[in-house]
Amino acid sequence: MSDTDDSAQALPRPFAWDRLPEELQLEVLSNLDYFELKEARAISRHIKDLIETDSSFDSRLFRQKPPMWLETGTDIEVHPMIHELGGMVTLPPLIWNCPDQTSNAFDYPAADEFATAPACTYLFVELGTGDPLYVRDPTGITVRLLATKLADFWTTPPSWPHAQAVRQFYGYGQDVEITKWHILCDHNGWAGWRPAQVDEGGGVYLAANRYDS
Amino acid sequence: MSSNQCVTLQTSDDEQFKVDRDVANRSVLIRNMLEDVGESEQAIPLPNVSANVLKKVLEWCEHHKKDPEPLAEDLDDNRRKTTEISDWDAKFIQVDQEMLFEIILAANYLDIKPLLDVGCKTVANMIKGKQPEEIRKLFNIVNDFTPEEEAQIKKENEWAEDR
Repeated sequence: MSDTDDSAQALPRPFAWDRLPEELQLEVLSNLDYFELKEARAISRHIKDLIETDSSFDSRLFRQKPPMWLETGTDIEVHPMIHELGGMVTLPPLIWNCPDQTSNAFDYPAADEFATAPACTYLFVELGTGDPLYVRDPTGITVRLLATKLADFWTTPPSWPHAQAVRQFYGYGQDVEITKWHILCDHNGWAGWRPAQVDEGGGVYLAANRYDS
Repeated sequence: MSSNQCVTLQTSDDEQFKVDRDVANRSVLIRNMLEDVGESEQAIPLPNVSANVLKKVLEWCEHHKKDPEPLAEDLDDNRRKTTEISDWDAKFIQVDQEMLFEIILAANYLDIKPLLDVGCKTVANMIKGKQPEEIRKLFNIVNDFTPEEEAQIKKENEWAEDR
């Protein structure tokens, strides 16, 4: 036992987690956020089972299936991995925080969690290029699906008039392939997502903040 | 019926506590009992609570006797609980772990939801920001993972590190 930790009280008997009935263990765990719950799974097999199977964590862990209908005004939480990746995704979607600097987000089980909580089946993404991005999946849109669609978005050409305008601006010929990246010019610094909202159609509207230059 | 009547509570170790009814009413269990039996001089037995714990619990009830009723059982329990522990509650709950544990059990048994919340939040705060090994030591939890399984969980969380 170390004497240096901050639990200044010398304890007659240690607080034994196992003496708490399961409902109270759940009550304690209900105060943890997404990351804390994920980390708490490493404490013991029983705690891992509770966190992975108890439905009370479904919403916070982005595994709650899409409801029949999303009411306008419902609070929509965006998956932390979507925040991590940002909106300007390429494939493979890289996570720069990881020890090896370039981990593929799709290697992590979190990629198969829903992109929002509650999950949605229809997502409208606004990325500031003037081209809409719609993502649809009746079983619920996952992080993996959204990231894949985002990557598709950036690698496919913009609408014809858009592309022509870009060619003209840069003085490119018709042989130069134009992607949506070109539209952003030098205002292409990712500046995060705005809070997601439910639109009147029961879909989720997710928009990028104005890009930094 | 006057709400300032006294009620006598009897602990598992046969101590009796005389308290105001509005203090005792913080406990839904006791409130329901009182409503069932009506006026009574008899002590209410609380076989699951010892005197030292009840004393502490009553201290909380006394301080919170004028609190408004909690709204219809905080329906969205699944949502993140954002309410912080008040300063008074934070001081109140600075007890050794054994007492903390007993308070949680008593609050659960006596059905005092806000006190249960304070207790559970306090335990959750002890978990936050600690390594699994520290948490196991703190709460006497046996590590029943193989090193491989432990490494696997760590690996799954890797993308979320250094947030």
